[in-house]
Amino acid sequence: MQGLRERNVIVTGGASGIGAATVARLRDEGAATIA
Amino acid sequence: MDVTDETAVADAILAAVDRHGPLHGFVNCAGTLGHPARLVDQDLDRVRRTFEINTHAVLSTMKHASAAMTGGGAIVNVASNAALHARPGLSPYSASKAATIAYTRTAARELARNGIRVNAVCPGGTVTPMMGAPDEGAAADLVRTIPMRRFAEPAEIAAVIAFLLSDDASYVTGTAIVVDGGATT
Repeated sequence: MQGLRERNVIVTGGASGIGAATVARLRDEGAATIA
Repeated sequence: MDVTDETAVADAILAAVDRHGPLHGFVNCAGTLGHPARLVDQDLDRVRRTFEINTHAVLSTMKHASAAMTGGGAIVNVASNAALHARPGLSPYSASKAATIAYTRTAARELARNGIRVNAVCPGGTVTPMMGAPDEGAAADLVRTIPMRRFAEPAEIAAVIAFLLSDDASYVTGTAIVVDGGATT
């Protein structure tokens, strides 16, 4: 699962709930996340 | 990032680009359920605050994020299945999320020429701090209306968001994907 490798993605509301799960998933996919 | 402060949003996005390079994706997860109350008991100051967070901030963040996606990109806005069917007590929340879907569709049309896809996800009940315990009170009543008889795990919503950001969704824009265990079917 590296479909977002080398992508820079900003996630608002990333501290909890769907936002936190999204940050975790995007990191698993190789993205650099900014929350 | 205070999503209701447009200057702060613009500064945060510029700082991210300076530090990490070009922006490829943006996910609007920040939101509020507001203050559930029947229509006749709504406080308009609280309603305005709900719209500031759930709706106006979506416009503001898309405005500045899309400007930073100089090589194309993808935006995902977290709406709600409450935008699609009525739920007593949640009129400002439902309306604010319906507006988010409208913004998503308009942005998809306007930004396609820039190589930017814009989509929404419409979760139903999800195990989050916003929703509360799924086995208590109103949440337990809501679970009984879901064909799959459970709330989503946040990771199940995140998986759809990741798909919409990825190249697997390269021809998907302007959609609002419902992820609610069949609750609105």
